[in-house]
Amino acid sequence: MEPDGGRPPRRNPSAGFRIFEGQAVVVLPDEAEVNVLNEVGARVWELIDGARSVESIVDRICEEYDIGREQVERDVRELLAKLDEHRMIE
Amino acid sequence: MNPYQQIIDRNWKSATPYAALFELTYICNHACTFCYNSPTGSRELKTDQVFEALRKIADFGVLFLTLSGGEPLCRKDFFAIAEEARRLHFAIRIYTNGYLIDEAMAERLKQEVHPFEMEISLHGARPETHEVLTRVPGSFARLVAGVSALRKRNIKVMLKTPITKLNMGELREIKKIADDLDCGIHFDPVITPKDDGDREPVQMGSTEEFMKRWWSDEFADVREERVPSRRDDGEIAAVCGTGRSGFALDPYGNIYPCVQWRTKVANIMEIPSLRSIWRESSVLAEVRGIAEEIPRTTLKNSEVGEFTSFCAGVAWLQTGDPRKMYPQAELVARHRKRAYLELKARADAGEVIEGLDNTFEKCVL
Repeated sequence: MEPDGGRPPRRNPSAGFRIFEGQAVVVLPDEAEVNVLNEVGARVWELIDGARSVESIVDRICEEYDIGREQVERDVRELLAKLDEHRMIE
Repeated sequence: MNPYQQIIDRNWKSATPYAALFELTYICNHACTFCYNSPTGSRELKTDQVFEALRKIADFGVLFLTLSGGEPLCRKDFFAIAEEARRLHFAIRIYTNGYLIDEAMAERLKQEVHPFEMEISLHGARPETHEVLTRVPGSFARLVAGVSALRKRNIKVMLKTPITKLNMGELREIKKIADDLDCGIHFDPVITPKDDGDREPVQMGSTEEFMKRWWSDEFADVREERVPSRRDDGEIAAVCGTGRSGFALDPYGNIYPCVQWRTKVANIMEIPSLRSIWRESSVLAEVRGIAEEIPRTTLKNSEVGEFTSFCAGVAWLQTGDPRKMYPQAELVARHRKRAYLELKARADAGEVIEGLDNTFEKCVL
């Protein structure tokens, strides 16, 4: 999933976050929610900068983790869909 | 335990801070009779110094940043500071008296700051009560209008009401104001001394007779807690998060273990990083040690220990010893325990009282 028809994903600008021992804690003020992302999810979150395409994020995850590209692509797109559903990205 | 609680628990046990309170200024547009601030007259940090402090706090991994005062919105550079805090990805909470919040200010806060919570002190249900304490005519109406403007924009607001002799007859009405404005409300039965140890504000505290009523069923709906909760120090092993889960800074850049415990750790302008002092500071080591000791000594040895909301900083200010039970904590705990035992007796006699067996609370900053 690539939000807004191919535009690089961008973190919700209202989100506050930190990485604690590899996990990302993301606070969404408008939703009054705190979400936690696991290590790979946290790395994807860090890579979402409004400039990198989904493909580029997948490339980086493939470089950094010993996981097959097909699975990375599927997992990253699933994660982005979830982040979008929770309004963590736009 | 959910993943977020697991992270907080881990940070707590390893004394890795995730929260900081930053008093941006002691300037205030109110003159509250029991304000705890004690300005020294030193020069407050300039904008670029505040930015440097924020960067050091962010580099240290702190997520939750509370911007406080004085009145933080009195700083002319408040929005520049907030913008820098946003750039550093803090989750921002603001303590304010609400006086400066009109529709335009609420909109700027929504668009530029994105606070996850605003905390605002409400001292009475009527202007004459609120303003006796703030000593600013019109402050009640402006607070209510400000809260309304924030809520209209879906900004979460928590009202705070220290219970005093003046407002103890209005607490139900105050709760109604909070409900009507769709806000949370926290009633605080303990009035703290000033940071310099002046105990004069403590005289404003409510009466013992009222405390007895406050913890009874009569006010259960206002407290939103029928059964007074008990402490669970078994897992956390420290009375609170002072010097552990968080820390505080004053407008001069001085770092303290928390907002109540005013023993200077260092000045943030004089250290290369917070990491460089966090594990090495003898002040922080002592504070953490005392916080761990209190559940095993002070609270364990007290008949009302498990019902005591104990602040080592207030104990220090009130008695000179952070480990010593202080009168307000003991008074509140005594009435909480009495109320609990009354409910338990009724439950033993056959009455159904929900929550009686599940009343442990964790103390998380």
